[in-house]
Amino acid sequence: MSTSDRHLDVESSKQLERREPEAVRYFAEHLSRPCEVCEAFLAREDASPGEFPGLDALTDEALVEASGRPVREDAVGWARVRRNQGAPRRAWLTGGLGAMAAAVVLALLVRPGAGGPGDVEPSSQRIKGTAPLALEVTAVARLPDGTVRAVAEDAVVPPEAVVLLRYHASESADALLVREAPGVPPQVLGRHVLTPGTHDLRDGEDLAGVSLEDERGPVTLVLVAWPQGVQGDAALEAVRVSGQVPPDAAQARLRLKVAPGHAAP
Amino acid sequence: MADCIRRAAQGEQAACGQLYQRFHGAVRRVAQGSGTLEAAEVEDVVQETFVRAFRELPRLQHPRAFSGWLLTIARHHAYALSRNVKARARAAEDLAREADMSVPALPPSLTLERRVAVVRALIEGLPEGPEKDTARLFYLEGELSAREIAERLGLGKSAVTMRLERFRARVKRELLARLLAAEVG
Repeated sequence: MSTSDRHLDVESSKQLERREPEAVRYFAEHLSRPCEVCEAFLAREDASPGEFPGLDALTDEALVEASGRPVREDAVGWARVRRNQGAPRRAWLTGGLGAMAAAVVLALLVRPGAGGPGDVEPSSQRIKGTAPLALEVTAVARLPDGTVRAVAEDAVVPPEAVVLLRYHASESADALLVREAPGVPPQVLGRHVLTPGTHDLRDGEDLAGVSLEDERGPVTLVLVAWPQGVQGDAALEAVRVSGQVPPDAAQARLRLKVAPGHAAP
Repeated sequence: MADCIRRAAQGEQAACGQLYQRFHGAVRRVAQGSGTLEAAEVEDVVQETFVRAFRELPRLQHPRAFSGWLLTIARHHAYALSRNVKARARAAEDLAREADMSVPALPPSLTLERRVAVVRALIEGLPEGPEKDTARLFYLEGELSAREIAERLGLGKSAVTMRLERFRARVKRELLARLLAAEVG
């Protein structure tokens, strides 16, 4: 075989892996022009792992960036990823105190009011205190097909849905989002900072979506908030250490029922 | 971005969220390049890719390798869902390997900007016809999946996948030539 007939194959790829100067020189020149034989070798599905290390990554990076299309926000997908990561989001609660604090917080949260059908319940309840923080929540459900539907209290929603909350707060507040379901410990889903007015509940720059994947039956989302102020840091520390929410905390609840087969809330 | 990757490696959810929002489109495009995957399977690839990446992120030694590493994981997961037996076998082997990857020192001819220019120039250089239409629709317009392109062009799904893989191999050949040329000096 003459030198000019040489194409990429298992042997030459090993020579290149060993950085043999003659092979490097030859293929640097040979591959600078289209070659169907070499391209077929590069496209084959049974390539050995580690062949031409990094080349696939360099290629895919370039290919996916070629369109230059802006990326839309994907709250549904992110909520599913976060859920599939497993642990409830308690990054702000450290060490072994986390679980204890979450349990105690929820002992305070689970208050009368989750009544039966027909009970009328205000969307915002103050636990106690004299300086009320007005707090309300509404929600929409986003489905994998991209449709968005409003979610009413006691709505039936499919497990594929991701619930996005919108709140109204009368003043700046620190807040916890908690999930309650029968037979399982309450779960702190995240900590949020509320700003006065009506806003989407966000987690940093992202919408704070709650995935219902693997859920069945009743689920209640509870937003618990207390005013920010000079005691803000102390209040958070008290929650972290002892699970005690401030006495002027308010809560807003949204009861849902998760059932498969419902295409829309 | 490097700081965001470091914070995500420490488990900071906000940083993970930023990475997801920055890269989910790219991961989805890798999965959508396989005409054999249904839309729901593409979303599964996106999910599994990020869950795995966030789990193994602390082992990634070089933040600048993140996007390539992520897309490599995505490709392996897409292969794993493939109907093709050989591809599934390769994916199983690849996914079992260490998650880290080598980071070749990039010569100036291989910056991301230059590589993107290579992709665009190669598409422009294709003769007019279904091969060029397929590459242009998928890589330049970047909206349709391989399955959707097959429907639009009236082709079989496997034909579109094969054309995309062939074009990808052409890009690999060009980039490999540049890597080797940089070594020759």
